[in-house]
Amino acid sequence: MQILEGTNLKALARARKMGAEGVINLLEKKGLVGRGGAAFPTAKKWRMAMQTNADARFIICNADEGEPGTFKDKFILQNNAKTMLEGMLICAYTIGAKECFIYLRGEYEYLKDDLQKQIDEVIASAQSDVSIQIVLGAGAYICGEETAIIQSIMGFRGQAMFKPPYPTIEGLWGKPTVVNNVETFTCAAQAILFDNWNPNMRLFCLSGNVTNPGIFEFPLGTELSTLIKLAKPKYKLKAMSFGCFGGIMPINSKMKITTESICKEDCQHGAFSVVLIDEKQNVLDICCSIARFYTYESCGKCTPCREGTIRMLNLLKKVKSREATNEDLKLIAELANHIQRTSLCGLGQSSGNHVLTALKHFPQDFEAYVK
Amino acid sequence: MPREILLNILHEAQNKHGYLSEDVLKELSVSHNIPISQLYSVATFYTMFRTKPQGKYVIHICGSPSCVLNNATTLANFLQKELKIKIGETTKDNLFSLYKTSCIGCCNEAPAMLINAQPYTKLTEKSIREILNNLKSSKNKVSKSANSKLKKSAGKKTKSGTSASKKSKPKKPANKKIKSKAKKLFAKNKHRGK
Repeated sequence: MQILEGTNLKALARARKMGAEGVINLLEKKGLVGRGGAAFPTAKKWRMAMQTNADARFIICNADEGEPGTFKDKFILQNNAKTMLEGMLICAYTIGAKECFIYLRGEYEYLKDDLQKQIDEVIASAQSDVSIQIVLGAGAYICGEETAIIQSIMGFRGQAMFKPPYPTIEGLWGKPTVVNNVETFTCAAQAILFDNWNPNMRLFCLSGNVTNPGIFEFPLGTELSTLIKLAKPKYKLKAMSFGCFGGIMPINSKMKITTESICKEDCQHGAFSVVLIDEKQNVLDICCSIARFYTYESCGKCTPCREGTIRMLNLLKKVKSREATNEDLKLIAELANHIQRTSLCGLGQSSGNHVLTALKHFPQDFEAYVK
Repeated sequence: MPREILLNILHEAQNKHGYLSEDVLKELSVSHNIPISQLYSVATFYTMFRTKPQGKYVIHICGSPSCVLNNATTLANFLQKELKIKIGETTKDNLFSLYKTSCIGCCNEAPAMLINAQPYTKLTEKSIREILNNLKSSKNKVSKSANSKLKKSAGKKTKSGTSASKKSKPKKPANKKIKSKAKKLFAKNKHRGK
């Protein structure tokens, strides 16, 4: 796997030789984009932080992967943390930061001691004057959002803030801050060192109704059937869900997995966490489970998300208990659209995707319950 | 010098005292110069921080799609039956607290749960019963005092400021002192937190 290749501090040495501008130009040329789901060009982000006038700059490694169905960052932390740390040191060197933070999600507390050991080793052998400190999260999905993570590290409730200003201009303690996730930093180190580094490689987290779940690395454009064959489902598959936020779409095994092909079905791939659902399942049940997730994880800052997600869950429960009418289904779609349009951050804006796509692609699973 | 990060401070305090009682938060407010309102707002925002007494073993069973597709709902019901409590409650002997949680990143080994931050995966009714029995039998061996401490604090109101956390640290200033000091801090920090 490309993602597991170690760079053994050679990438950092190469970066130091190239100089900050050289590093950013190389990353731009190699086409590295953020791997958290938004696919923002990494070089652009680093350049913005570098060019903002400030007396201090910070780096945050987002290890708060909370998207249901995602476990790739854990995989990297367990198997190639040193390359990720090297990526952070390269970023620190490039933008001129002295303090870095790793925001480790609270659920991964059992990785903390080992990670701390590896930080100490890397800092010592790189002879770096940069500090890397672990911040342990405490179970808030919203803290995967870059402005919320900043609030959280500064000691406040992890609520999303209005952008702009973007973190690269005004982040931690008002200073330019680069927030990238574990996979992005790992890829950054590898992209700098390896000439044959492939920017199209992605980690697919497969889980759900399959007998061989796990992490598989494939380039974009791979046919879905290849993934399904590896995952070995017991029964015929019916649908796939991209985490909770990306929407639910029907299985078309001939489909090539690209951003465009997924957008065509009104879905978003995010970090390519694919939850496979077989024909024995009812999509309505999945929607209820996802709606419960959003009710639980809404940070409560804006009303459409805080109240809307609760109403959504109640409406779905009403459908499930066979008390709903067709009017209620229309109301569900209307409510989902409304929350998406009026919420501040990505959580609220994506909280209706699952039900909108499910209603579009699997109306029969809802109509069977309607009076 | 590493920075003082509030989340890490709260984790440390919770690990030490079992939960973040009013007294613990008051102590932290004074020792770290942070308004208690901010401490309380943070402690109640994050689901892993608890402001009420907890069982010795805190169970978080995953309720997100990958686990739900692999029978997690049935297992959550099974846990409730085995422990004779509902989700969100603590057993009478203060041994177990049970919660449902969002994804814990063990989707490839679903269904999964965390007990005191340790993952337990590929669960079945049989394996859950075994895990619970093991924990129950280790109860008498490990830290009898911790358990009794929990019992004590569970029965007490934290308002008067004589809870377990204080007893174990006799050197801390009296509650009155803390209050007056906290008051001063509040005045000092009036303009903070905007």
